[in-house]
Amino acid sequence: MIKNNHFKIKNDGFTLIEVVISLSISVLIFILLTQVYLLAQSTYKETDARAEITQNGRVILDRMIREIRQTPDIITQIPTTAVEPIPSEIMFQDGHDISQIRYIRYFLSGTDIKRQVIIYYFPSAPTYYVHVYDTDEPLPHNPPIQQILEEKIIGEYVSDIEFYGGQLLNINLYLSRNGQTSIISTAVYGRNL
Amino acid sequence: MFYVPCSMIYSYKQFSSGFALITSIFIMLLMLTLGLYATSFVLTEMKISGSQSNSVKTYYLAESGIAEAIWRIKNDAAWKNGFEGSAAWSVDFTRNSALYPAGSYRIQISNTEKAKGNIIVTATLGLDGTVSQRVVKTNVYKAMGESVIGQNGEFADGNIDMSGSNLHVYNGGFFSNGNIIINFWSNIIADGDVQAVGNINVNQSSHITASSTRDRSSTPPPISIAMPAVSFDDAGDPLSYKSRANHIYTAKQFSDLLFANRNKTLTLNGINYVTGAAEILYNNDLIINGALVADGNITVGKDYAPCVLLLLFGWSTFSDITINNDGSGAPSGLLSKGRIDFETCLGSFNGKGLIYANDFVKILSIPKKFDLTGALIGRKITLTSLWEGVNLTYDNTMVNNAIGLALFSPIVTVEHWEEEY
Repeated sequence: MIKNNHFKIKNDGFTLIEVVISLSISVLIFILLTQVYLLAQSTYKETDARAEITQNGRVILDRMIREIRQTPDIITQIPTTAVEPIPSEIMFQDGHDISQIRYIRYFLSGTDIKRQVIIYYFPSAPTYYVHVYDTDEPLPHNPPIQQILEEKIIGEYVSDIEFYGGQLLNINLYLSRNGQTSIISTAVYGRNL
Repeated sequence: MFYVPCSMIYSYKQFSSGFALITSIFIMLLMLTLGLYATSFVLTEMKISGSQSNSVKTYYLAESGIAEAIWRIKNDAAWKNGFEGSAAWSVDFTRNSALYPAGSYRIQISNTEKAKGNIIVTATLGLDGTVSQRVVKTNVYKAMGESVIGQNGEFADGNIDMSGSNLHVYNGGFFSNGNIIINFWSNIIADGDVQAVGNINVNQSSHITASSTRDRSSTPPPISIAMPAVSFDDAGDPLSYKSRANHIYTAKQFSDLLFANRNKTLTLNGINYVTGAAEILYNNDLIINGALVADGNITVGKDYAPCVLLLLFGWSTFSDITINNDGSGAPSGLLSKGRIDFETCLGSFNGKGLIYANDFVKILSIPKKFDLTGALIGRKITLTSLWEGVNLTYDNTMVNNAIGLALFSPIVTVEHWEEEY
């Protein structure tokens, strides 16, 4: 009698249906959790990308606005309205350091915004910087030689940049990374123009 | 062979019944909680990221509003006249569809005084079903061309001493970073304010009439004004007087020029720069159509003895000085890196321009009228025995022409910048 009871207890496990149901629930939960994890991961990447492009946009615009606000002369021909072709670069005279004539150029190179510091001089006086539109004497009035003093990346993840307007210069900055896009628009008043 | 007692097996079976179910439910709840937390975390992150991105866009929208406000103050006639013309001027302007279809900004400007005001720009941007707002405040000030010495016909970094003198300052007052001392039957009249950072001492025998008198005992006391600098011969400065000079003389050359024109009237045009002292003796009449500038001292009407001696014989040898300004914005006057002395043998003085000395200006015993339209600036100013009197008419343009304005000085200056959300 005791022996029989012992045998019965040994065979008292999960049925096949129980195992199948519990496995199915486990798989569903696993899939659900995986989805949540993947969603979190992709959202993290999206927010990271958005924060990155926003930060880049801010760095680019802050620096550009500060220098355009002070410039006495914009060299690039800027259309007054947002009608194609809208230039994606701007060159202007440095208004902060007026001890020598220097130019600053912002332009799109791939997905980077680069900033160049440019000077112009005549071979006869290489340490005396002149305006980009100056010509030397005598005839045939040669233009000055251009020299790039500095070229640096200011910001990344830029798909396009547009400049238009008059003294109140509009700037549209298009940023993109990992499928995230952002357009930041602003206007700056060149008070010395 | 080992057998478990029947009673023990039975109690174990009783204990384990339903354990798997409870454990499963517990684990599922735990997982669900984790899942919900992760989802909530993700949603919050997305909202934060979205609002950060929008807030940056709105900030630049507000900044473009500030740019438009300053542009309008400078270029829109109605705004310009209101801003520069009235202390009570204000404007409230809204631009819709600004830079973004759902972007707008409101510009509010209110003047605190003429040509000085606060700008508040409130930018609103609707994006992705949310609306973000940024407020940017700034103060703007436009220099209205008042000279660096204020509305003062006479300015001294040190003391102003007046003794036995009559002085009338028209269209302004006078200012000293030190003391103003008036004594020995002096009579001083000023249309504007008489101010001293130190003390104003008026002797009982003397009298002063002014719009107001303020010294260190006043509330509030006058704030000192920095002595304006003049670029005489700064190397590499294209605006220095030496760089702009039409004629440059050594002290000897200038002396010879005066000697060659003794008892005659010598006319000097433009900027005349002397790289030493410039001494105008008793027998030289001078017409200066511009400025006489000297590295050394300038002395006018020097040599008391011979001029008085000749006067005894009925021969007037006083030097009459006339300074003209052509109205083109060019500087005019007498400017010295050292001191300027007007001495007894100066005849009549009629000048339009600035008298400026890095050291002191001394006007002593002039027998004739001394009329100056412009201003008098010196480290120290002494007026003695001017019974005929000095008439000084403050002229802002003459001061600005002579001292000059800073390169690239912005007309509208942003003084302060502050953001709000």
